[in-house]
Amino acid sequence: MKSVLVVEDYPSLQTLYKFALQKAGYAVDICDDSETALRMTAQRAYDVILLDLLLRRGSGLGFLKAFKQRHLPKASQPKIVVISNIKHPAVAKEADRLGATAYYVKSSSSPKDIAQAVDNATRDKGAA
Amino acid sequence: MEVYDLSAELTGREEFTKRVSVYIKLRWLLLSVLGITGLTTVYYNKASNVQIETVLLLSGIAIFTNLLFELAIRLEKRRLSFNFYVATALLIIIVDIAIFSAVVYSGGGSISRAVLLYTIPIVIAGGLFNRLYIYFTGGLCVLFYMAMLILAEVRLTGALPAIGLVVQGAFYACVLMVIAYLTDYLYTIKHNKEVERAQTELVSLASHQLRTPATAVKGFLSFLLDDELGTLTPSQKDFARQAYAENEIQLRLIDNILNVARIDLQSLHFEPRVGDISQLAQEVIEEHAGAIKRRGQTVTFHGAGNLKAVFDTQLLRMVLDNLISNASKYCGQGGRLVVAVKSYPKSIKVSVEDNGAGIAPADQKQLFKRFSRVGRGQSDRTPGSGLGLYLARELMRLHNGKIEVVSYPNEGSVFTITLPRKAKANG
Repeated sequence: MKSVLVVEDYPSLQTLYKFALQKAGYAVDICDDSETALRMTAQRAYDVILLDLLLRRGSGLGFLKAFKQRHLPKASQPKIVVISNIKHPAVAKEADRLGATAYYVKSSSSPKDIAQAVDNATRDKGAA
Repeated sequence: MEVYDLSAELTGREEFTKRVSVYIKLRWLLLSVLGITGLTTVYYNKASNVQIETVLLLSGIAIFTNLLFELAIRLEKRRLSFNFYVATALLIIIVDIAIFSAVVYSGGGSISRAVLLYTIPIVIAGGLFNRLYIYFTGGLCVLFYMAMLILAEVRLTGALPAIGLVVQGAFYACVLMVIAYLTDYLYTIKHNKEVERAQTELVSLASHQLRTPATAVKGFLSFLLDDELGTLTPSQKDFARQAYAENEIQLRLIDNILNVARIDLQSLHFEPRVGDISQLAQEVIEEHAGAIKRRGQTVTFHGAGNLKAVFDTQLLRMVLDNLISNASKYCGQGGRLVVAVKSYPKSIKVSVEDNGAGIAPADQKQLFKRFSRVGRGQSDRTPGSGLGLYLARELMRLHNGKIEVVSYPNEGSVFTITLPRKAKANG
């Protein structure tokens, strides 16, 4: 079973993404800050990280920066799908530069869309 | 790039105490330069009025006071008394004015170019305090300078300064006040920019905070509508659908408010690129297809494929989204919408037509004003913020284009946006 780490600090959205991803057949772990996310990704190799940008402690971009510095071999790199309500193109570009696979605006994507995005990311990972 | 990381922002008090500490550190540098300059003048220019005792005395006072300030700041850091920092900063400024007056005095009184040293405390006062303190410091500099001028003249001639010297002194005093004015002016510009930036950040953050719970509501409703938690009865489904539609309106409203605030603050991100406007129009129609169908309406699209123009996709999408959403809202059950994209030698026009209630001529001028809620048939029952068309007009202005309306009561309305062909694209 493929695994997803959801880094999201809003409890209702945690519930929704977990529900949608479990329904799509993924094993889901959840955390709500970038520090815990870094610790969890050091302990377990996830297939996909679903990453919010504005977190209560730390930020998604901070996580991306720190994660990039690990210089993991390409084969063991998880795909990182950013989910945020920030619609600023400069932020999306920065996330892309720091290694995000895709960027989704939460308010215009249903949890099903997000699960589909995770599907696409795992397919890309399989192809890579 | 870190965004919205407000925790990294310093509060006003912390920023002030940090600046006082920096000022004390800069003072070490400044005093070293002044001391070396004084000693060099004494050594190489025997004819100057500067005496070795004066240089040593001033340097000694300066070093002693700075040591005191440095020590006091280090001791005070444990308690962080804000008033202490304010008093220390004021005291440093006054001591500096006194030291600079002594430098001017020993350097030849009114004819000394060292008078420009007074600029330093004025600029520092601007960096630490508000405009009142800038003029207070400027006035204090003038007072010290005048006193120094009289003292120097009495010491040299035994009499009060002659009229020529008074005029010269007055001139320098005016220069100092002009410097105070310029300092105030520059700091005001800087301050205004900081306030604008803070407002933009606040609006962005507030809009994000509003959007998050609305997004969650949308997610929960989408599961109910998709029968993921069991089949709903038709009336339950109808209510869930209405709640979903209201939620969409709420999200659009948040976006509109955010973008109007960004326009006001001139912080809207505008990135025009070459794109296919026909495709964009069709995408927006597709997004509204569900709502149009629910209202029993039809929509027709006329337009050539692959019609290139220069525009910011996100912003123009917002304009078309507002126009098509309005057309559907106001033309009522069973209405007809026509979206057309036409190419002209100098421009491209996109029109959105409906056969709704239309808008009275007197109301048409009010349409594009902020928070305008003019009578449009069912408008009393139709939700809207009065921001959509205002936003559309502002966004078209940003594209050097325009938006127009032709409407007849009981016949319908045609909203047309015009994009110039000769626009400059980024990238």
